[in-house]
Amino acid sequence: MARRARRERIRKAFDAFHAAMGAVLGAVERHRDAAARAHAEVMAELWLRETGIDAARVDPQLAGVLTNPALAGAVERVAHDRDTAFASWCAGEASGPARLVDLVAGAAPRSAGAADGWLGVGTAGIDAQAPELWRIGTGEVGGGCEGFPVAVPLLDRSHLEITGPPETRATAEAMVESLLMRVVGYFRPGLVQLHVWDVGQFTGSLPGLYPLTSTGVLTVHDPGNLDGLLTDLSDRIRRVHTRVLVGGLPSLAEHARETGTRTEPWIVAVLLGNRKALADDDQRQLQRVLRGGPACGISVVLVDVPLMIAAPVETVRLAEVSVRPPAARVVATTSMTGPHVTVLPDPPLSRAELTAASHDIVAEHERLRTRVGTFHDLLPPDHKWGTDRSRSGLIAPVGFAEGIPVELTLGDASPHALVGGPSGSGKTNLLLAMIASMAARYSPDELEFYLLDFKEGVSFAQFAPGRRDPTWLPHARLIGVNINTDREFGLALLRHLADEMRHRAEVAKSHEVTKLEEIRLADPEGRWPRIVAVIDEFQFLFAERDAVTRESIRLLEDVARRGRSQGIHLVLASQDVSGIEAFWGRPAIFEQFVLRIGLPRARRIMADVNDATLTLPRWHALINHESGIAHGNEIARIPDATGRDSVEMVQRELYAHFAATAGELGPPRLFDGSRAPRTDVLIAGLRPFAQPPRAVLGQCIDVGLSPAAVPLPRSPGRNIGVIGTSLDEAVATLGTAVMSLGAQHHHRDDVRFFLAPLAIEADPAVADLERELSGHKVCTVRLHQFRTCIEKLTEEIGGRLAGDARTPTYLVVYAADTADSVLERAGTEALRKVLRSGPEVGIHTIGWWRSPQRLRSLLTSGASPDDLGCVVGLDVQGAELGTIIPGLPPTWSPRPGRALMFDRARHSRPEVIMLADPDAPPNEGAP
Amino acid sequence: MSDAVRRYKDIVGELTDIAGRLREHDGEQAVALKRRLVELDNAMVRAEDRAAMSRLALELRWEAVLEALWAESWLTLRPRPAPAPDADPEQLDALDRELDLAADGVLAAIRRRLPFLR
Repeated sequence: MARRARRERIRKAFDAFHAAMGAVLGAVERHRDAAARAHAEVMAELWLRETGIDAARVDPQLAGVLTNPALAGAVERVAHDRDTAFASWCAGEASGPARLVDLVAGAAPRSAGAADGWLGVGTAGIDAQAPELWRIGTGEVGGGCEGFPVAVPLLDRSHLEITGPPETRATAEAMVESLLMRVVGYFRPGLVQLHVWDVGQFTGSLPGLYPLTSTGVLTVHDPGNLDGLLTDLSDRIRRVHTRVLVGGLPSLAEHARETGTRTEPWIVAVLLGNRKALADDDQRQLQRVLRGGPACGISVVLVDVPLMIAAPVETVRLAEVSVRPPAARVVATTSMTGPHVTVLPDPPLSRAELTAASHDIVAEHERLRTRVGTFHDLLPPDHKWGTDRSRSGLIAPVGFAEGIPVELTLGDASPHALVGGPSGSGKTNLLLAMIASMAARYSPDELEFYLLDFKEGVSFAQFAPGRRDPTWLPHARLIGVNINTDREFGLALLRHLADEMRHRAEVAKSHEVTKLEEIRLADPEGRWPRIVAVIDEFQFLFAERDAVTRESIRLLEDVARRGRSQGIHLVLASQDVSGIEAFWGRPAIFEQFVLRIGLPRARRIMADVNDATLTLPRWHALINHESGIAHGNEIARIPDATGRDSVEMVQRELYAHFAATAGELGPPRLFDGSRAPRTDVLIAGLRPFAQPPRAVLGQCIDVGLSPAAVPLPRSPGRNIGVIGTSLDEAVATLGTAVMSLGAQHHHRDDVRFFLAPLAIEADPAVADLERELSGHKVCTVRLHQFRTCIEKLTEEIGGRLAGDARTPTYLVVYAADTADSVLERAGTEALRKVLRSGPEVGIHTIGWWRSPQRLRSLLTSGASPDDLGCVVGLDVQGAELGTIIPGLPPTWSPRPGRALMFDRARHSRPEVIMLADPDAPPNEGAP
Repeated sequence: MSDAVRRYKDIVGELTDIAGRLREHDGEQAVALKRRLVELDNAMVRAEDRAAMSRLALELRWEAVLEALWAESWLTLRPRPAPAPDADPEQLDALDRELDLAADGVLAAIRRRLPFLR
């Protein structure tokens, strides 16, 4: 028992000692730990204070500190100080977040900035201004501060660069997907073009957007062909600068603000990289695109593409951070929000809703694409009619692609245009659309039209006043229709243009400038419109191998080369340009025709390898401002400009709008090859009582539509011979000559007329003429009286030479060769004397011979060909006339309603004139 | 830069001013913390020294007790105890004294025999 008690005591004592040992060991450890913890906490707080808690939150090495429960106190103290500091920004009605919410609401409407419910099909049109900002997420400052929307500029303003470690790539792509859907979902489908290039894959990037590829809203590019994408973007930049931004405007956005309309869609190009630098060439080209892109509507989104960007760009840097309870999330810092704001990217769109929205967009795009732009869509808004300035060129839409207007530009870079297409392909319709579209935008002081139509038909005649519509297009100064057999008119137009060009060059020189733009600045009060000469079926002008063709080519080359700087533009349309023999061997003649327009099935109008016209659908045109090189192709659907209420309506509106100018300038001169000019109109163009009096034989084929008048002074040789077999033409010619002379002699005693119808067929015309000359002394001489009349005139000549009065006397002989039968030798000699000596004493003969040989034989012995100062050949071959007219081109062949006139005193070469018709009905449109 | 972008950045830029002031404040705090750190470094050294002392004394006592119990073969000895998790480090001095007393108690229990066995 005692032993047991001892053992029990020992055991208890040992237990007590054991427990005391445990207590000491525990206390020692905890004592050390307490010191270490206090040290660590202060250390952690020091790190956080020195680094800044915002930076610490995105530093992966400090993640452990922020989430360590043992250091929570330190983190809380630092965070509290920070939150207190930022609280002032976060508080009140004018808090930072509140102001940012308002700002983003205003600058990022609808799908651009809405937090939710925005995904869908856009409705904004091309003329809408692009939102200034596009939402990407929510910003947090911490400390209970409200979040605010974070948005970046993009369209027309900036690029976007997104970078981050590999674990954040999925977030980057989701951000890009949402951003693109916001952009595409803001505007009407088709107005924003998306391009995606992924260095690592052809398909699989941004898969939710894939349905957009079916109608071309999205284009996916081969990873091996970044160069192709960058080249396309560079071409677009160049095209915009040379064609749209010609007035010195710095950007498409500015241009849209100035003109109220935008003609180029937006482009967003996404480049998905792998953190490795691009090839040097690609980098250089990309830099150029980045620099020039925003001004031309191109924005680039770069994901993990390392590049120093010397262009407007906003950056998003993603990072993965730990949060309590231990989990990771991806946050960002952005150049918009700075280092003190943590940006939470918006949650990604679900694949299902993304795909559904993409399909909706594609369906709407398809619907819009098939909607046809109308003629009225080409016209500017009412308040903009006639307000554009042509100082730097002429720009006007003629058709539509994807609902966007496609424009033609005539200016420094593309001074002249060639339009090609077979018959029925829509050439005339396109020309009418162009004329109406330009006329609606530029006033007559800014733009003038000269319109020639070589084909049969009267498409341009509608621009002149007519019976049905007394209005005219104020911009039209000259219109020529039905001139396929009057190539001289085309030549006359080219001469006129060359003269105008010379005149402008002289004015420029006098102001010490060189171009039209500069003339306008130097002479702001002057009227210096750009001139557009449109010649339809111009190949007719060069159809023959003759002097007309030779001179026309020379003038065409001259105007084509030098017209650019003087604001003179040619628009030449043809069924087949390459078939014009005159141009073979002169390929340079069309170098200046940079603008090429091809209608369906047109051949050889574009560059050789560019055969896009062969597959053009109906109603479309291929418009190319790059001399026909394929990359300049634009396909446009041309609306119908021939329907009622299209061009006619525009003309009426413009006539009313510019009534004052139209009144000042007067209607355009209309040359209609199918209508004979009216005698009374030609005579009205003469100055009354002019000395010497002039006999009008017809109308010159010139721009002035001037009368072909022969002066008849008292000089040897001043007689007129008309040669030909056509009674009507001869009678009309003589009648016009006589009436014009009658109109210039006012008093009855001033003049005498002897009318000798030696063929019975001429009797009715002579009778009419007598009636017309009722205020004058007229004596009709029949065949049996003719010899006596001639002999009396011979005596009179003798008297006048001795000093008798020299009353102007006109002997008008119809079918003079008939006189052979009654004149005999003595009479013939007398007639020769009348011809030789009559004019110098005021007795002039105007005769019609049916046989050139008979006339030739008359002009011998006492007379010579010189006694017939002016010869008019009607329906005689050139070879026959050659005996009377020296230097006559052998290629002259009779043309109905036309005659070859040669006045020795004034002409070096015979001229073709139009014969007048005293009985012609009033021309539609003739002034 | 567009007007909206400029205004956005201006508003957010106000945070930079705030951040600047916060940096100044943190800087001042950092100076104080560095001083405190020096004190804590010293405290850690002292704590380590104190711990070493207690451990030494404990080792000596443990050796002595084990030696004294060696002859008590009937007793199953226990290994060294684990540190008690609830020991109050503030009571280290008292716990050291208790350990001394407990060791003495073991030794006394061993020395005390039955009256008739002396």
